[in-house]
Amino acid sequence: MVSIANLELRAKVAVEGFLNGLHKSPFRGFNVEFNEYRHYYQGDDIRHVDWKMYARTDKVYIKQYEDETNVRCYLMLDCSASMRYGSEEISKLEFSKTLAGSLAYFMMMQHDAVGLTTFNTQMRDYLPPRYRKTHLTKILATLSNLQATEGTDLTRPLTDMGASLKRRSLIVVISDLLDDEEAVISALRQLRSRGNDVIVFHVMDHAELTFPFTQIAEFVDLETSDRLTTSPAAIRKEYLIELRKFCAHCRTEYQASNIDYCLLDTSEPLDVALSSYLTKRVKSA
Amino acid sequence: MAFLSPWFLFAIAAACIPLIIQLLRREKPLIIAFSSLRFFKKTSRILVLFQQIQRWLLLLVRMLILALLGFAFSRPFLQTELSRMTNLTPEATVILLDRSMSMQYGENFARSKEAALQIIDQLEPGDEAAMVTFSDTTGAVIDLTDDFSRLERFVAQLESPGFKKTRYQPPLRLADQILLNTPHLHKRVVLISDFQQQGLNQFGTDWKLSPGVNFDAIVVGDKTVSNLSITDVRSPTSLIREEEGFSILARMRNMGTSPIPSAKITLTIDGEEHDSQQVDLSTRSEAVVKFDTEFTSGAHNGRISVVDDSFPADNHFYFTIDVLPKIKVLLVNGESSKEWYADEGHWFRLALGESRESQFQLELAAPGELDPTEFNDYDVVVLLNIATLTDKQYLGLDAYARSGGSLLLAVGDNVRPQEFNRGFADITPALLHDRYRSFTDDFLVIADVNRRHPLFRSMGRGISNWSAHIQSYWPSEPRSDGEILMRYDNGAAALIETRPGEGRVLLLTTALDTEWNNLPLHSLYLPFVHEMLQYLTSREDKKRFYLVGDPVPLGKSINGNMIVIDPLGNEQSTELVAGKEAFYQAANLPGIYAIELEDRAAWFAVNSLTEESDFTSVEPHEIKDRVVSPVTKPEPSRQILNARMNLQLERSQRIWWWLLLLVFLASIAESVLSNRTHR
Repeated sequence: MVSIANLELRAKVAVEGFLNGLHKSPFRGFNVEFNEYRHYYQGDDIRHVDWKMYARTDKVYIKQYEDETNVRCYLMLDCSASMRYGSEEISKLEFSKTLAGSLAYFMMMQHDAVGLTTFNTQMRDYLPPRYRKTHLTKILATLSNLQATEGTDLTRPLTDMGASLKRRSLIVVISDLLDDEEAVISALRQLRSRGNDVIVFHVMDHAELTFPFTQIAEFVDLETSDRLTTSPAAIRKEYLIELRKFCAHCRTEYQASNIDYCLLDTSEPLDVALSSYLTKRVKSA
Repeated sequence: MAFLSPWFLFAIAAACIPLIIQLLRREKPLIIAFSSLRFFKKTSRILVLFQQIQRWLLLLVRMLILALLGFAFSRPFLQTELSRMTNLTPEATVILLDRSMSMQYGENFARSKEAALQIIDQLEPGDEAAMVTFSDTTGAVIDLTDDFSRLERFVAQLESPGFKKTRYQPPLRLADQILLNTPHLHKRVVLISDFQQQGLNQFGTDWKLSPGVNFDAIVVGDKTVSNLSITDVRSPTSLIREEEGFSILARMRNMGTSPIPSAKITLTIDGEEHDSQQVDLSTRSEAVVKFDTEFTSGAHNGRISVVDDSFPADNHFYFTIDVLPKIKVLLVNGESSKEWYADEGHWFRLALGESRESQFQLELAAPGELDPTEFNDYDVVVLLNIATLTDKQYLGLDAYARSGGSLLLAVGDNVRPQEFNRGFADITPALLHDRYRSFTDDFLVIADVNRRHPLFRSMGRGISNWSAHIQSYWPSEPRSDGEILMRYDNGAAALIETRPGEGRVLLLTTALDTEWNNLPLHSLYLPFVHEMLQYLTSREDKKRFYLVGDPVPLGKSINGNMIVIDPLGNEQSTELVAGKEAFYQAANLPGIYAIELEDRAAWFAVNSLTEESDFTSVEPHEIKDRVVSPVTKPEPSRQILNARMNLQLERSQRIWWWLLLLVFLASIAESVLSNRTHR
């Protein structure tokens, strides 16, 4: 799938076979199919006032329609410099972009409103959730142009996101989580405590998970540019212990807060991520 | 330091090869852009640092190996060793250190150790020294060595002198042998001693040190000495008169150079002080101290002591006294005669004596009165010229002998050989044949005596010259286990011994009266009878005391495990076998030694040597005059010079071995490091 250059096409291919999970939306909205009337309250958009009804009954009613948009979903994509790392054909960022695109495509297919937020040390791009064909195109275009730069600060975008949300939403975080884990967990807990569903896709390169290096090498930190020359054979054991401790800590803390956590290896297919999302989606229904 | 192949020093530059390779082939590490180093930083920084050190250490070790190899191939040697060979005069010294008993006096031994250490301290590189300790023989020895610290340790660890006497010749002979093969041109013997005069006893006048060996003396003895010594104690070995007063005489001698007023002398019996006396002794004078005492029956040990004397080693004199019960003898006379000269019993009673002082308690019985059940009440049953006994009496005697009783069978004209052979068939040492009678003027004499047998041991050489005339005897055929102790001059057996069971039986083949011989008229008759009875009752000789170093006999007629406990409480176990003499060889301390054998206990006493108490000294130059060879120092042979040269050359190049050893160790370190270093 990496060989498919077009992100939209990649998303289509990835999503294929996952459409069976469609269901009826529990939410009401403003769309073409009329459902019922309700009384007008201050602040309602006067565009939806049924003036004919007002003329007949001298009362102001608002027309309600069956809304085909199911879930407001926010895709939050980490585009810090560490996401640039990729030991094989695909970097973590490319993998994450494909994942985000696939999820967006998939959600559109389910009539969910999808938004996109990209961030590194601060929020970079923001596309509010919409259910329109053209909106998907905007999301895919934003993803295509995305570059991984600077460091990571997950806390701030998550806090901003939590503050801006007025409705219960589904928040999908795609990141390598290489930030202060306690602060990130705290921010995600706040999101979760406001009734939002949160899925965290922890994206890791296969080399990060196995540390297959053998020769003495100078390792350069992609975010801080720190350098360290060492023998990988000598430190492999310690590295893997630390990494597993970090992943286990994330998994334990997220599960304790009812946050779905999914560790993704960039060398594996996207099915795992989509299955995870679908499961969450069914639960939300 | 100089080098035999100095051009090889250039090879040390090879040590730079690993460094050059390291610099030239230094691989720039692969640069890997990694997502984050946060997990690296949590790994041990020390580990990373240690790896860096290991790599540099490995490089250094490799450089060191090459440098050492280059250094070793340049063949370095110590010039000082060679200059010593050519310029200096190395010397071989043998230090003789006296450890005899007299060296216990005052600070003598401490001074001698100090003197030895001073000699060692003055030795120069190239010198060699040996150390010999001695008393009456040579003790611990360290052969010639240039390891002076070893000699110093040896001297420092020397224990106090023992109780042996001084003899100068054995250590001097050994020193001469040690110096015989050394290549050193200069040789000397240093004798450190108090130079007692008696150390020259048994000094061979013909022997001298080898030509070229010098003699030095270091005198460590005091010029003024104070010592009161007990030179002898007269006490009975054994007593048979219980609770009767005896006198113990102690001879005291002032061995010092100053008078000793009011010296206190004490007598201790069985650990309790019994009496004490004062003596005044001028220089080199003697006194005899008398202690009156009495003893109860049994074994006793005693000690005469001098209180507060300057030389404690000879302040005690130990002795033992055994108060023994009388030997109970049952005398059965087979031919009592009214003529006293023809009555064996008369002569036998005369020999044993019936006074209170006699050690024998004699009872008489006629053959018909013998009660077999009473035999065990006697130590010895003596049958003189018995014609016949009842079967019951024969059987009783048989059982008595087998169960440990002692029988003395003396035959005479009353004896019937067939009856004798039948009645005593199982216990007699020999079977009797027809009687021998000499012609009127002819006679036999005692010609062959086994003087090594305990029976005759204390009778001395006189027994061989026993000129008694024997006109008649019973020829006999000894049993297979019969031992002939005495023969007539015609070779026939006169006295035969056998041991049926646990008892002893002696058979005298002639009479003990004057009918067949004139034995009773000779002076040896009495000791002969006494020794026979004492031997039959196993009363072996025991000495009042032994001297340090003497072998102490533990008994020949005893079976069992004997434990000897020395004065310090150390135990030594010895397995005794009857008939085999055993000795205690470790009597090296004066004092009372306890003996334990099954349920019996006894003592023996060991005293120090009185000659070591005499501090009369000899001038060292007298010894020097005796031992130093008048022959001038000979020129060393070419062979010895070559040996010296080889030795010095080898010694000066020993550094090679150390270098190669370092290379070897560095190679091992390189292997270990290279295996531990991650690439």
